[in-house]
Amino acid sequence: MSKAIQCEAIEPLLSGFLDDELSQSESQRVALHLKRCEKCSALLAELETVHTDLKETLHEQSGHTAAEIEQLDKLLNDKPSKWLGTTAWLLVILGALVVGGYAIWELGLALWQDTSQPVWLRASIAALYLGFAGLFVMVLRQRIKSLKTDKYRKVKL
Amino acid sequence: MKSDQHPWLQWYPGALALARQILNGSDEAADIVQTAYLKSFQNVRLPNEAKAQRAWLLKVVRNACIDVLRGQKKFADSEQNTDVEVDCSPEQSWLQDSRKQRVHQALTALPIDMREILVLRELNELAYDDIAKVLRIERGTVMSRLHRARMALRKKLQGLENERGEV
Ligand SMILES: [Zn+2]
Repeated sequence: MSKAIQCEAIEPLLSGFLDDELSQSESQRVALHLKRCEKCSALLAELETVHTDLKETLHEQSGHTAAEIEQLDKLLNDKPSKWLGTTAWLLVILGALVVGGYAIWELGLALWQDTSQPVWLRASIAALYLGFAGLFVMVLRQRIKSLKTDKYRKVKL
Repeated sequence: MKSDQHPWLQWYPGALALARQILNGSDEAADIVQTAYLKSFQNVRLPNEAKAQRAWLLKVVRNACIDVLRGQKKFADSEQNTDVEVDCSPEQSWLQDSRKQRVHQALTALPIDMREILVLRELNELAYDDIAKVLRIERGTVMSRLHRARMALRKKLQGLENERGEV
């Protein structure tokens, strides 16, 4: 293999070599080539300089303030408000479910037990209840399953 | 960094730098990072490992920035020509250091995909695997893109140094 072709194959690996992200065999191959090739060694040295300079520049430049971080820290640690919010929502939903469910249940039961009502109506009410129960169980099953399998369920970004 | 601070806050400078790079130094960057933090914590199923958490946060930040860019494109296509001028507060004395100034200038001249991968690697110090996760690309692509970015930066820097030499 001519030297120019060798360099061409090695050059794209130099960044990975610099970051220590090559496989062992790749890394050995690069190291071997570097021993014999001044051009690639010089390029590696240059890349290293670019790497360090950029790192320093970015570090100094980030330009955030301590106040910014403190404010964010406060927001992140504001557990009471987060907790309160969750609890309030839970209470509202739970209350609505119980009250609404009870009203529907009572109405349904009254109609169903009222033998003066036509048979089709009473049968439909029974079907409605059974259907609801079935749906509930199905959704519950799906939920439990998806919790078990998909670790990053919510982060399809 | 105070020890009683939230552990995720150690990643704040890196996350902010990423947002700034993608948004061309826009003031929105800090807001976006803040929202990303809060959003991340509303999520119940966070990864346990610190490295994965960091990648997660950066991914949320990046996606939010990209949404902003998309919005800007939709509403103000002409204004998108934000030039090399990134906001520099006067107290940033590092700008007087000419080498760093040139590095900064060269970086700003690179396209977004190169800038973001450079920030992820050089400032956030993510491993290639984590960069792959944040950018949703293959590990091999991370290596080649990062290399191209460094080569491009090197070339721009050389150009700037030459320019200076001639003056
Ligand atoms: Zn060579």
